[in-house]
Amino acid sequence: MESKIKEKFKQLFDEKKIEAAVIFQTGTIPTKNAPNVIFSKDDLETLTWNPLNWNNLANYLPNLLGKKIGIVAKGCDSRSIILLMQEEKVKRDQVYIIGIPCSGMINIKKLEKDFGEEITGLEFNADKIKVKGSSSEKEYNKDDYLFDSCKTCKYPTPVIYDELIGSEIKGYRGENYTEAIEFEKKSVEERRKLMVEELSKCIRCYACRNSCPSCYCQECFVDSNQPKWLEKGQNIDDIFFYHIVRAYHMVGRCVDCGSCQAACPMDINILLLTKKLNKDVRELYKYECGLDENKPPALSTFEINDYNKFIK
Amino acid sequence: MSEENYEPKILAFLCNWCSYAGADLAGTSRIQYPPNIRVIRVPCSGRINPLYIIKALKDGIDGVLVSGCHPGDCHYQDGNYYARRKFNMIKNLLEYMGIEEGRVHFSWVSASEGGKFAAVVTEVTEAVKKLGPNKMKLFQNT
Repeated sequence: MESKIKEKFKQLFDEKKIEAAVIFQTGTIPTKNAPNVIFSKDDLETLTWNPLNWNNLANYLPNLLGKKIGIVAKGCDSRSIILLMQEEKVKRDQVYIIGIPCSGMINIKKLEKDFGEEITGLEFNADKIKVKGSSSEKEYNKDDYLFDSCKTCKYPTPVIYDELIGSEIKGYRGENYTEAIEFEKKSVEERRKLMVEELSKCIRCYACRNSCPSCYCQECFVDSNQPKWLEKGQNIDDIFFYHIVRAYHMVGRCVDCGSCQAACPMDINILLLTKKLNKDVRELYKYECGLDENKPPALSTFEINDYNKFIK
Repeated sequence: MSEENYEPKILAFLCNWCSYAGADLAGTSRIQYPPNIRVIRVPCSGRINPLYIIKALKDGIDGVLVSGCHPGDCHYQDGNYYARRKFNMIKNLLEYMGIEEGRVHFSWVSASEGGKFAAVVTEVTEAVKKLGPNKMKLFQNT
């Protein structure tokens, strides 16, 4: 797999079809891969492809405006690219997409916790992970350590690509927002209590914002000080404000890739919010983000007979 | 303030072309309605960023009313259609996050509906009164 991607990129660089490539490189520790933008084929040597690539690479595209870019894309990355195309942050002829059907990414924090000591080596087989530590070696089932959003992924095969490496994988056919549906059924007080409990873990590092390909504003509302929307600090109402607005900005724009939750250092269940919005958009406006580049996003369009009953 | 004579503060975003004129008509027609609302005039209901609603709630307002032209009557042709989608999503999200239903209200009031405006304000004030002071402001204590 890796050699095929490398070969393809080398060829693209040689033919001058691309000026930059967005890829994963081996990180400084075995448990992390580094997403990177490279500008020459010499940097391709450390290219890697394994189930640690949870970052959404489409995140790097808006910053490369005007360049010809090659990108490796999982299912979710490809949907984000479509979203960026809808919003005119990227043009179709500007990107060369190498699609890779994805069998799910591994929640490395969970694995580290279960293994108990520092991981010094990782080996991935079809459905097993071999973990090496300084004193012990263990084997785990890959399926037990997948991200929740990967377990219920509907589009593991890229929706859009110029070349597909690997064979297509069928997506999950069931209901993928069950968590939000369960949470909805609770009473208002209970929901607030659970939300406060969950969100009070937040240290406001904004990693969820930075890892999200849909969050590309030049100046985020949290950084703006004229007008100053919210205070700095750990007040729960400021944290609440931040998370409501962050989630709201995702209406009809979230591809459910889970990179926000994977990036969170405090393990906050951020997807609980976006899942609810995705579910509502699906029910009310029959729209799913990142599938059709010619359709406008849910909030950029309207229908005369949209749901109106909540308005007096 | 004791609970018996608690008077909620309600923020009303009114669109310049319909609801604001509707409120004006209610005033010139001398229709009585509760004095709990503070009005902010906006060019169109589509101008209202849901951020404003959340910011108001965060800073301690007890209720928010957003009002614009009836569908099809928008001065800018389709501003309120876009607004409707935004409002629906923010309403659902706020309720989901545990902010009571009844804090945030939406209405369509045209320039000729002074009576409806008074009725809406009365209804909103009663709903917010029932809920009591805004609990989002009290988060620090929970």
